[in-house]
Amino acid sequence: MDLLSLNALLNRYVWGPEMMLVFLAVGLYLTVRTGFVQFSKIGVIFRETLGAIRERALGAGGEITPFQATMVALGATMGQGNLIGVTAAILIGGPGAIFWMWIAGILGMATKFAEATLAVHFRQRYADGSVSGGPMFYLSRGLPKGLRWLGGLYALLAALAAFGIGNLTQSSAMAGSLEAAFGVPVGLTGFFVAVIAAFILAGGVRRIAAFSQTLVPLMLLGFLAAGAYALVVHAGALAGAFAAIFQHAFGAQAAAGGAAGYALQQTLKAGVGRGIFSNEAGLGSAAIAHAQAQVDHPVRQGFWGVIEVFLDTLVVNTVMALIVLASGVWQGTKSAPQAFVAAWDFPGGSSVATVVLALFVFTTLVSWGFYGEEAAGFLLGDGIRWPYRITYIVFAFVGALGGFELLTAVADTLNGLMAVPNLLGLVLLGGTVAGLVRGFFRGEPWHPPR
Amino acid sequence: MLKGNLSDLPLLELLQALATGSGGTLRIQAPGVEGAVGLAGRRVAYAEALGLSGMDALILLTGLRQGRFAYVGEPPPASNVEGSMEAVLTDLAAVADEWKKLTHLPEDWSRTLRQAAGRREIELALDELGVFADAEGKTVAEVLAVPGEVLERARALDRLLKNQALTSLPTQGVGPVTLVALPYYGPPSPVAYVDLELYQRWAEKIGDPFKLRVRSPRGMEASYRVEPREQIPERIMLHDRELRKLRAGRGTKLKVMPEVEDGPIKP
Repeated sequence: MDLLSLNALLNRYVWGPEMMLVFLAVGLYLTVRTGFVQFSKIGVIFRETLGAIRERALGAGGEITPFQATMVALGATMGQGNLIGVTAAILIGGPGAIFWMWIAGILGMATKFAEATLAVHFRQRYADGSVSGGPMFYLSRGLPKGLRWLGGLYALLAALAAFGIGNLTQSSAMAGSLEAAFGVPVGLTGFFVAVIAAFILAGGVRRIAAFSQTLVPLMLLGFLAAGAYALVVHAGALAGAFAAIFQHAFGAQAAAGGAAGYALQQTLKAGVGRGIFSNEAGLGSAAIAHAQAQVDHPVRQGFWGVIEVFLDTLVVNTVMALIVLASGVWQGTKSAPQAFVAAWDFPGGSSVATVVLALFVFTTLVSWGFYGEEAAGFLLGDGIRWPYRITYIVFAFVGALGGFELLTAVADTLNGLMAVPNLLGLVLLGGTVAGLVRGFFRGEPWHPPR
Repeated sequence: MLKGNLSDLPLLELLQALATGSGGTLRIQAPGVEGAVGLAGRRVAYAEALGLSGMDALILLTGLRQGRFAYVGEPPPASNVEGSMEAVLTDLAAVADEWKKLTHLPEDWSRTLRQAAGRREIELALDELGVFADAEGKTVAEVLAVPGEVLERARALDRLLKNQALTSLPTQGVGPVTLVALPYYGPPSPVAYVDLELYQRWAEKIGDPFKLRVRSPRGMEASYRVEPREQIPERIMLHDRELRKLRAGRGTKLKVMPEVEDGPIKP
C-alpha cells in the first residue's frame, strides 16, 4: 500500500462516522461526569464569562486574560468550516443537518469544557511566570505512567498538523478567494499573510492574544452584522428556513423506504460532522490557548470552553446556515464554495463573503501557528520555537501559491488523529474534571498538581 | 472660588467671613467626613454631613480641626437650617467652645475605634456605655454622626479615649481600596476572600482578625469576615449570593474598607 492509499484509508477512519460516534460518546460521558454543566450551570457560565470581560487585564497565574485565551482559541476554531463547511453540510445532508449540528455542538460543549479545565489544571509553570499547557501536558502529567507517552504523540501530531489545517489550507483558501473576488495575485496574498503572521507570531503569546482580542470580536461582530443584513434581505424565508431544519432533521425530504434511511444517514453524518469538527471539541487544540489564561480556578476557564462552542456552533454556524437556507442556494447544483458566495446575494454581498472568509482563515492561521509552536516546544524544548516559526511563515507564503495537495492531505489525517490520544485522555481524566467541578461549586480553592 | 484648610480657618470663622457674601456652597472634605454648608440670602440655609442635616450637621462640622474646604457659587439644594445668621453663629460659637474642651478626640476622624486590649474594670456612665458598645470597629466620624446626639457622643467618646477604654487606630493606608468582585459558590458563607499578600499587609496594620466593609457601585454596603486566598490579586471573592445581594457580579468594582473585628475585650 502506498502512502497516498494509506493516508486515504486513515483519513476515512479519523474523519468517518465511527470516529464521530466516539466524539459524541465522549461528549455524552463528560456531560454526565460534569453534572450536565452546559445545562445546569448555564446561568453561571454566562455571568462568569460576561463578567470576566469587564475585568480586562486582571488575572493571576497565567500569561493572558481568560477572554484573550478564548479569542485565540476562537480565532483558530472559526475558519472555513463555519462558512463553506456549513454550506457543504446543508448541500450534502439537507437543512436537517443543522439540527444534528446543534445536538453535536451541545455535547461538544462538555468536551471543550473538560479540555479547557484540564489544560489549566495540568499546565506547566516556569520560573519566569510563563505557562504552557494543552493536551500534551494533561496527557503526560495526568495519565497513569504507562500512558504518558500519549502526550508526546499528541504534541507530534499537533506540531505537524498545524502546517496543514492551520497553515497551507488556510493560506491557500485565502489566496484563492481573494484572487477570485478581487483579482489579487496569489503571490501577493501569500507575501502579506506571511509578513503579518511573522510579526504577530514573533511577539509570542502576548502579541497573539492582543491581536486576537481585537480582531476576533470585530470579525465576529462584522460577520453577525453582515449576516443580520443578509437575513433581513430574506426575512420572508426565515420562518421557512427554521421549519425546514426541524422538518428535515429526520430525513423527511427523502423518498420513502430505503432512500429515506440513506437520506437520514447523510443528514446525520453531515450535521454531526459539522457540530463536531467546526468547533474542534475533542481535537484538543483549543486547550493549548485556554491553558494560558490567568484564572484562580481551572473550572472558570472551562466555562469559556462552553462559550467558545456556543459562539462557534450555535451562533456563527446557525447564522451561516440560515443565510444558506433562506437564500435558497442549497437547492441548486452549485459546489459548496460557489453556494457560500452565492448565498450573500445582496449588493456587495460576495465581497463581504470574501472578506469574512479571509479574516476567518487568517485568524486560524495565526492561532494554529501558536498551537504548533507550543507542541513543538513540548517535544524539543524552547530552542525549536524560532525555527518552527520561520518554517511556519515560509509555509504560509508557499501555501498561497497552491500545489501542496499531498502534504495537505497527510496533515489533515494527522489533524484527525490528534483526537485519538485526546479523547482517550479525556475519558481517563473524566474523574479529575468531575472532582474539579465539585470542588469549584463547593467554594474550595484550587490546588494545582505538583 | 475660595479654597483652604480648616486648620487655618475653622468653620465658625469661615462662616463669619462669608456671611456678607451673596451666597454659595461650602464643600468640606476631611478624613472620614464629607459635608456641605449652603448660604443664601445672608444666612446659613443648608447643611449636611455623614447623613446628618441642618443644625446636627453644622455641629459636627464645627468640631473638625482639619480638612479641605472650597466655597463655590452654587446655590444650596434645599433649606434645612432655621434662624438668622447671627443666631446660628452665636449657637455655633458655643458649640465650638465645647469642642475645644474635647482634647482627647483625634483630629483625624477616619481613625478606627477599638476596645482596649486587656481585662480591667472600668466604671462607665450611661452615655459612655452606649458609645462604648457602639464604637468597636467604627470610625470616630461614624460614632459621632448620630442625629441629636453629636456633642453628647463626642463628650462620651472623649472620656472613653481619655480613660483608655477605647483606643483609636489609624486607618489611612489600609483603605478604602477598589477590588474587583469574583464569585465563589457552594454553601452560603459570610466570608470574603482577598489575596494573601493584601491580607497580610492589612493584618500587619490593623491586627488580625479584621472585617471588610464592602460597598457596591449602587451604594449598598455589607460587612464580611475575611480570609486570605492565593492567586486572586486585586480581587475580592464573595459568595455568589452575597454578590447578588449587593447587586453586583463578577467584574464589578467594589470599594473595600478593612475594619477592626467586633468582639469582646481580649484577655
